[in-house]
Formats: sequence, structure tokens, C-alpha cells
Amino acid sequence: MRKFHKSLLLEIPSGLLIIYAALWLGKLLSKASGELLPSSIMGMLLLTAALQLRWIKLTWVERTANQFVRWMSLLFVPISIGLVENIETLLQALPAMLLTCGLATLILLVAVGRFYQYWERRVQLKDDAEQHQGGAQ
Amino acid sequence: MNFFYLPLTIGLFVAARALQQRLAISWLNPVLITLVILVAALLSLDISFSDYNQYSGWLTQLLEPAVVALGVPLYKQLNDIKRELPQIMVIILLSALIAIISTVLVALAVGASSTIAASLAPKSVTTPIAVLISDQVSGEAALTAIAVLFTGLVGAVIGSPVLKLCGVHSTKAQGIAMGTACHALGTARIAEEGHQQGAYGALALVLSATFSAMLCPILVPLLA
Repeated sequence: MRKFHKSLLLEIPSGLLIIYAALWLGKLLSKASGELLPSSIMGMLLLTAALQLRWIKLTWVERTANQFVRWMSLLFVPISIGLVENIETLLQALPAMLLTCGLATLILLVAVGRFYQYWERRVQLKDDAEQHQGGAQ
Repeated sequence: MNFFYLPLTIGLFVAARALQQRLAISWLNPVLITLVILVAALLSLDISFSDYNQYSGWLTQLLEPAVVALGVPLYKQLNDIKRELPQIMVIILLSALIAIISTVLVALAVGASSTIAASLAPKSVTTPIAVLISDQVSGEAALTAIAVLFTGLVGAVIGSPVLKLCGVHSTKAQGIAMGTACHALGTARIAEEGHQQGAYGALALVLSATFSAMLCPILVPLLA
């Protein structure tokens, strides 16, 4: 129990520090690159790169990041409430909105999912066949 | 009363998530339940949305670090991703192409003006980039922001059940699909189901935003 608290006390602040540092650097990079990608996405790529290059250890940031990811949906609630505030703009383009953002999005979602899955299985079958062949020789 | 908005929002979400997990019904989305109850409460008590946002706005400020945090699942899956990257890039490039063309054509077909069609074109892209794209193709930024949010909500609420219903059971495929079609909101939803989904969602989010930013200024003027 004591060990848990001790590690948590260190890991949450260090995780926050690293994530916000990545975000801040992401902001700089985003500005420098003429807003090629938004700062949060730049920060995400920087964090991945820093982990991959072993500049930071996974344990320093893992627990905090897991919590952020776990609660990310909640963070969209206040913005989504704003959708209701703009209901008039939404209604003004309603048929297009429903068909493209609703139906077309779902179709796109399933098409991309099926397509990737199909490709993934084909690669797997090919790998398996090659392995099988290798084993038989 | 004002100070209650934030604990109320968090409390509702926690309760809705617990309910969903207990009943194990994926259609019972915590974001949707929280939204419905909050909107009903705000409307019946005649509370303005800007008043609500003033006190719960810091949740929104945590969105940026949350997107940064997606770097961790992305790193954990990096070895798998590196191997598959060329194929993933081709799939997402094609998807971005289809997303833009289908959106503009469907919008025009139901009688939307070319401004509305252009505003909806980047609907599957994360908000900050979508707004920039919209501006470039002479759309309306406000309308784009709403379309992006609406798209994300559709994906977050029914995306996962629809994927499963249509036979998409591969966790990687689910992540790629959500990140491509429903940006960060869809990724946040699918990341709750596992690290692999989160990582592939995050990757798809980045790639589809980049490709759309390149494709929209070329395609939209041709179509709309």
C-alpha cells in the first residue's frame, strides 16, 4: 500500500510535467511550422518520439497518460453542450448535416474498418503460409 | 449553483459509465446520457449555455494534454505500426479522398449551397485543422466546427456497436476506422476498449488530418 502511494505521488506529477512540456514544445513547433498540425498533435508525436528515443522512461508518464485517455470522452461534454447553443446553425444545414455527418460517416467508418481488416487478414494468411512452407522444407 | 456544474457533469458521467458497464449495453453511451440529462436540466432551469461553459470550461482545457497523452499508446504499438505503415497510409489516404468527395457530393445533392458543402468537407478531421481547411476552401468556420462535433458524436455514440454489427472485430481496424472517420472524439471512445484501438486511432487521426489538409484545397473547388 505504502509503495503504491509513493509511486503514485511521483508518477502523477512527473507524468503531468512531461505531458505539458510536450504540449508546450508542440505549440512552439506548430507555430514554427506555420500550423502544419495543431499543437496537441505535435505534442503527441513529440511524446511518442521522446519515448522511442529513450529520452524519457515509459514509467514516468504511463500512469498519468492512461488516466487522460481513460477520461478523454468526458472532456468533450462541455463542447458538445455548445452544440445545442448553436442549434440554429445546425438546423439551417440539417439535411446535409444528417446525411453527410451521420450516414456518410457511418458508411465511411465501416468501409475503412472492413478494408483494413481484410488487408490485415490477407497479410496474416500470407505470413502463415510462408511460415508453413518454411516449416515443411 | 454555478459551482455545481462541474461536479454535476463529472458525477453524471461517472454514473452513466458505471451504468453502461453494469448493463453491458454499448449503445448506452456515457457522453450521450450526460449530454441529454445536462441539456434537459439547463433548459428546464433556464440556465444559459455560456454560463454553464464558464464553470466547466476547464474540462475543455484538458483536451489538449489528453491528445498529447495518446502518444503513450502510440509508442507502445510503434513496432507493429512501423511494419504496417505504408499500407496504413494508403488506406487512410484513400479514406480521406472518399470522405471529402462523398461529403461534398451528398451535401450538394440534398440542395446545400456550395458554402455549406465546403464547410462540411473536412467534417472527419480534428477541429483545429478542420477550421483551417474550411477557411482555405471558403467555407464557414462555425458551421465546420459544428459538423466536426456532430460527426464525432455520431461516431462516439453508435460507432463502436455499428462496427461490431458490420463484422469489424479486429481491434486495429476499429482504431483506424474511428480515428479516420470520427477524429479525436471517436478515438477517445474506442481507446476505452483497449490500448491497441487507442494507438491505431491516434495514428489514423494524425494521418487523416494531414491528408485532408492536402486534399481539400484541391478537391473542394473542383466539386463545389
